[in-house]
Amino acid sequence: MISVADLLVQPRIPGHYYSSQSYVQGDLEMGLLENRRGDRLLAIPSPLIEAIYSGLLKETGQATGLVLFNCGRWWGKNFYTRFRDEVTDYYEKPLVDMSMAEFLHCLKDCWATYGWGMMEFDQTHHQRGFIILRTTHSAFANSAPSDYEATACSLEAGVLSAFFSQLVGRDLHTVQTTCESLGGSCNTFIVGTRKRLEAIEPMLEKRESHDAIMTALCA
Amino acid sequence: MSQVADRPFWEQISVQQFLGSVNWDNVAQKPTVRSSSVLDFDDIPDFQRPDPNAPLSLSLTISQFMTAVNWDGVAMMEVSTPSITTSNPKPDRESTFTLNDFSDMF
Repeated sequence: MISVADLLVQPRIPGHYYSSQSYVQGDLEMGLLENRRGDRLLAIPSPLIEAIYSGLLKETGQATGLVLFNCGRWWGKNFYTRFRDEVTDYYEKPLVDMSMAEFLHCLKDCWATYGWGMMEFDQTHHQRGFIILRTTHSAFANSAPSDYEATACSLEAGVLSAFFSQLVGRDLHTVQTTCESLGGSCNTFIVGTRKRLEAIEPMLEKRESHDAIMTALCA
Repeated sequence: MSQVADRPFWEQISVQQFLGSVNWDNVAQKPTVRSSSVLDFDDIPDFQRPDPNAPLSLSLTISQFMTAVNWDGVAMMEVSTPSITTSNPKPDRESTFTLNDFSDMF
């Protein structure tokens, strides 16, 4: 939040760092995309995501989700590092000292600008040890094969798992309970400790409803 | 940090708070005494308030917020209320204090 004193003294008032109008820059003629710090960005076309799914299904079969989740874990570690550095530099304060309101604003903007969809943060179950995240317009869910019978955002789940693990400083896990590719209105992720979330893996395999899973987790 | 603390109060609040507190319409207000207790209550993180199930304030820092999440799902300690027994309590020593006991004191 901007203080009146800062407004009078500071030469630069930070705005929305991840605003898509200012974050994505580059030279379209040269085919270069950069963020506002000059770091290179990589745009992934939908056919490539579709090809990743079909290739993994042929090569690894039912392990596709696990492979994507582990890729997401690796990606998420780098994503967190980049996010932390960018936000810390821009707002001139350590990430953990930011207010949650500022942090969520940044994360939602970042998620949308990176083309991963819109994100909502739900802390209803914080006292039970779980944080719920909901996304819509996921490119990964939209590009999943029509016959893909499981939740399709394993890569995002891996990203969120690594991101919140590093943010909180604990080994956190993320599971997906609803998916746009399965007709859901959104993609729902539960962030919590690995031990507690692994207990409901059978429910995930049976594709039980999000409410039923939350009831079991909070019992 | 000490420099920030030394600043006047109005310089430490956000623009929104400051501009929102300006009496633009010159509406007559009841004279209120700015007590520190009101400010202090707003500053208390939700996880320190009596209801632990209340949503956490988004004004908390990330470290405060993430620490307040009950990741391990440890059951909250229930405050045990003393059971009220309807049976006649056992008479203690004071209630059996008789006149003889009283006279023995002299």
